[in-house]
Amino acid sequence: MLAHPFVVKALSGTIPFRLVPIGSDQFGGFLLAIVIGITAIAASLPLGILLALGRRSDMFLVKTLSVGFIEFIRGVPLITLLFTASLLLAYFLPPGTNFDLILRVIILAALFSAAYIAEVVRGGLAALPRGQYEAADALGLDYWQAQRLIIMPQALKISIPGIVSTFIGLFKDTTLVSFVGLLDPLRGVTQIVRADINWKGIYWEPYIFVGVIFFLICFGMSRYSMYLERKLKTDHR
Amino acid sequence: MAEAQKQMQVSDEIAIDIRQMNKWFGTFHVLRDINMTVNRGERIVICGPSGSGKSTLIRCINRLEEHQSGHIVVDGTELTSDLKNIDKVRSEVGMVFQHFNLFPHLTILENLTLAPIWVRKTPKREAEETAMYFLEKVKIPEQALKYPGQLSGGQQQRVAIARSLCMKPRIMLFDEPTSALDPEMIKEVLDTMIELAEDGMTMICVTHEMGFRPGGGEPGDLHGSGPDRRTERAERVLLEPAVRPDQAVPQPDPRPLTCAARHLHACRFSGPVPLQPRSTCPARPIAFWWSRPKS
Ligand SMILES: Nc1ncnc2c1ncn2[C@@H]1O[C@H](COP(=O)(O)OP(=O)(O)O)[C@@H](O)[C@H]1O
Ligand SMILES: [Mg+2]
Repeated sequence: MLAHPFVVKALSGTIPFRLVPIGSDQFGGFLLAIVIGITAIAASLPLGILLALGRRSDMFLVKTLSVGFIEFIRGVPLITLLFTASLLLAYFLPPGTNFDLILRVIILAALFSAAYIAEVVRGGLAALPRGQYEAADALGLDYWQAQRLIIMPQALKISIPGIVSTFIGLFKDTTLVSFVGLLDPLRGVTQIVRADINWKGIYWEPYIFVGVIFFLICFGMSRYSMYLERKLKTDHR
Repeated sequence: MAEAQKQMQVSDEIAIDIRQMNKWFGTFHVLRDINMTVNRGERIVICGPSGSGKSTLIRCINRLEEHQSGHIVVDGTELTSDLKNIDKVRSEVGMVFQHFNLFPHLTILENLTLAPIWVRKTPKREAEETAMYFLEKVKIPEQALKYPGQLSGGQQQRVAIARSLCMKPRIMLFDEPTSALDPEMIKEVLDTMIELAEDGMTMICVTHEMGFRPGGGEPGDLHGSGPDRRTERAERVLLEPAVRPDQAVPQPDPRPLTCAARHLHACRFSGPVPLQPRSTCPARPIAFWWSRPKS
């Protein structure tokens, strides 16, 4: 059984399996897409919310940093960031630091989609009437209580379509990691197709297969978001 | 020491004390040298034309707006930039808004229990019991599990009043509580407010409905041509409440708030005036709310 070093470390502590650690250069396929996708999605939502709040903050420093970060990330292609992750970071980090490539990619993908999520959530925040903040204030709730109990539940609900779009985009962008040497599903397919003469003539088939799987996952996310919207609908107008 | 004692006693009786308060929006001087004292149990109506700063004034009382100079002391706590004081005042002062501002993603019951649970740290059960008590008081206990969007405007405003009451406030502020309501719903909200007034709650109510108009005059007169005319009319309005001659005339304290820039006025009614609705003019809530019963 093959598994990534993280997984090995995490599992071997609890379950006495014989897992063989493998390097980032061998870890690939849909499992890679899903690992990067899910981790980055899970990390980017809270980060995006904080960035959105930061951008609306009265505190000059917090606001400037948030705006700067969001605009920088949105202004630079993901590919550039990925190359940065694979090459430049290695120069900046102290020599000898073993900072795994997949981890770097995950962090960058999370930062990347966090910037988009921040803008989507900011749209949701802006759509809330000022009266909601005032009512929360007038009842004596403090800033974080008001955000957590009143503002965010409503703002996130409004932002569900935008958030899910961002997630879908992020998930599909995981195929870009092939450019920095990781084995994403498409790259795996390409290698197989090129290596085996039997694929000649029907080389498009595996690509369609990969496309269908991506479609199913993304379509699933989209349906889930619609289900969530329906379930959370409480305005009954 | 004795003097401190004396001051304590005075502040015990005074619910809200505003001294030489000034408020600007940027360069726009909205409130100028406001002086106002509200005793405990007093019910005050603030009226004046739209844009005169009525909302701004009561929003200063719970610091939804910050004042730039002067003093505001609410329930013995001075409002400064000290967040502790602000939170203390806000939990003692309930506010009802023109557009209700209920939380649409929570049920009525959750709307009512949220602040007691998170601000007062009341146990959930107890908070729910209190909530049901006040829902019964505003006569809609059967709506507890619905969402605000499923209620009529009048019901929503009564929920908003109940939500404030759940914090057991000592002072209630109303910012045009009936302005967004259809005429037939105004009465149910006013009935709730009258009941509250009868229970001895300290209340400040803002309205631009000029209920206290001189006999025959239309409220529209106030929005007449020049500012001088407006002032003059408004002053007369304050002094001559709209009651028919056969009714006992309430005695307003003719001390308009000083607000030189815009024409802001307060009507003060104090003393043991049991409030009674005057059913003859349902469209004029304030007149019908604050008039003295026939003796
Ligand atoms: N947040 C604000 N920023 C700038 N000007 C404001 C703000 N709120 C109110 N004003 C101005 O202050 C004046 C008083 O407003 P307000 O207190 O709402 O009046 P009222 O409640 O008596 O109708 C108005 O001229 C309004 O335009
Ligand atoms: Mg107003």
